[in-house]
Amino acid sequence: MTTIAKKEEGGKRAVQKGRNEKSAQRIWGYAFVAPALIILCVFMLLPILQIFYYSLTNWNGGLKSDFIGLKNYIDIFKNPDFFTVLKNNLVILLLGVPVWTIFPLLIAMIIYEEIKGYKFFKTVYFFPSVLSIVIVGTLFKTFFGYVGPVNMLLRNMGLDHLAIEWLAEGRTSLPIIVLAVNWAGFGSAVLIYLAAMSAIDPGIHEAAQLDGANWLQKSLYVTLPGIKNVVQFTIVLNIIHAFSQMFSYVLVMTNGGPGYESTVLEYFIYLKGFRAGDMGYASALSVILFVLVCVINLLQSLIGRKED
Amino acid sequence: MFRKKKITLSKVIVYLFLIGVAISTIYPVIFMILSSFKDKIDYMKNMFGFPTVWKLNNYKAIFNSFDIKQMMFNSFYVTIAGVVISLIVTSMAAFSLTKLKYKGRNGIFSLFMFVLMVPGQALMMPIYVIMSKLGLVNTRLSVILVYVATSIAFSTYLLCQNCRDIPDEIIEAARIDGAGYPRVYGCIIVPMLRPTMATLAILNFLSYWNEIVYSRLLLQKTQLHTMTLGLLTLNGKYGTNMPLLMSGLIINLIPALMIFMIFNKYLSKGIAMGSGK
Repeated sequence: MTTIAKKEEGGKRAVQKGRNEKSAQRIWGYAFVAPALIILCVFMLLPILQIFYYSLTNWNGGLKSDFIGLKNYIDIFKNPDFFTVLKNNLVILLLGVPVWTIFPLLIAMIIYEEIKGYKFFKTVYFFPSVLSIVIVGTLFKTFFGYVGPVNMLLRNMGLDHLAIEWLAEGRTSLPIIVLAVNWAGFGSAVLIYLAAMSAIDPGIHEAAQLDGANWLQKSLYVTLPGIKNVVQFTIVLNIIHAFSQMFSYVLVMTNGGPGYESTVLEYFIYLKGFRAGDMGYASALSVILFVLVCVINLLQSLIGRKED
Repeated sequence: MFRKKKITLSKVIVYLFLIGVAISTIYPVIFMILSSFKDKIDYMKNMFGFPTVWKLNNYKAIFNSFDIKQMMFNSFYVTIAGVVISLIVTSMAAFSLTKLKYKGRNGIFSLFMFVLMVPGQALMMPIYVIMSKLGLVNTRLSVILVYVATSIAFSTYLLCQNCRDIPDEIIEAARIDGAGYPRVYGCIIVPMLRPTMATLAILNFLSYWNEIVYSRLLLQKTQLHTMTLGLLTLNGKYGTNMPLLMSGLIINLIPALMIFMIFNKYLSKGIAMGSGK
């Protein structure tokens, strides 16, 4: 028995440290990661580098592309519309991220207790996630239109003065976009939170229950800390979404209007690049967008680390 | 012992809240369905009720103005190809990045993480130029590649998390038994990644099917249009005809809904399997 064991040990060591093993891992390591890496490089990294390059030119999308240094950036910061656009992004960020993070969290914490009908709720809440943004945007545009159901309801209740053209003012259209995003996405967030909660050791919950903790205390002191990582990841994702997933909503619901009142940075890039044809300017805007997202991510991770 | 269930006020409020949210998700769909069978006049006079006369005019109009069959084909083709390619490519990458050791591995992993932060939509311009140069504008391949590329980072990240949990001993045992790494990938890694892959398959299917930005950019010829693109066109052309719009939404909804229902069963099985570890 000992000889066989020794042989296996020898075999194991050979596998772990042998030269063949090292080169096998190297060859297959590169081979397996190659397809994904190539696609990533050609269709993500290369465009990113190109954007950085073109932001320093006056490229018009065609053959004209002269180096003009930082002129685009200077023009951007001299443009008052740019600051309107930034403000819109800020509004969506400050309204959206809390709503998109906390609303599903609340629901997940309630459903987690496996109350009656939780399967039904899970399915029903997830349903809007299946719909395309075009559907969601069109739906909300219809519902909040001047002659739409929401206004009809308000008028029937005698609240005529509230029955305004919701999507015609930046003041109200931005919150409605936030609402649309929440409606479409909270279901999948609930599922993600629930999956994370199911990873918590039920023993801790039982112990807390025995100690007399009620639902609120259990949620705050057991469940929440247990899924802290997932919540943080969700916050980061939501922040990124606030800057990168708003384009389709704006396109379908408001076209950025009136003027620039509901234009977000993504949409501004599209307007300047494809509508006005100033791709150099649009590239510079894209660079600013990247930097913004990176900075916010950095800040967020620093704050997160401090709390640890 | 007979135990009475306490019906506390807080429980009632909580249930009302949950039901309220449920209504907010279901009602718009009911509204869509009912409206799609009304003509414009009925809709304006009777917005909230059942159609006084159930008319199929809207649906007929849409089938007449759009080649629905072609659009369905395009959507399915592009979406399924994208999902399959994405699953293969990202699972291979996850295996390589978590279980195989080689120089530059951490750098490559960081690259994937970096790209996670980049909004795919901001890259419209260079991607269009690259596709132009490759002669891929107005081909289905172009959007397939874009879809895969923009979702690679997230999918790989998720699979890496899962792949890390696969015990090294199993791989070592297989290697001692003489299995080559492709074998390890096919017979060990893939089966163990199945729950996550199923989740990703659904998420990617939905996101590719519903994608609008790049399909609008790259699929300019009408015969290449996807269902979602068709809906956008409908929105633009007949945006004021609410019932017509609603029927367009319903037509668009049905395939995604069917896929969702099919996968929902598989998904709940998958999540149960994963947590049962």
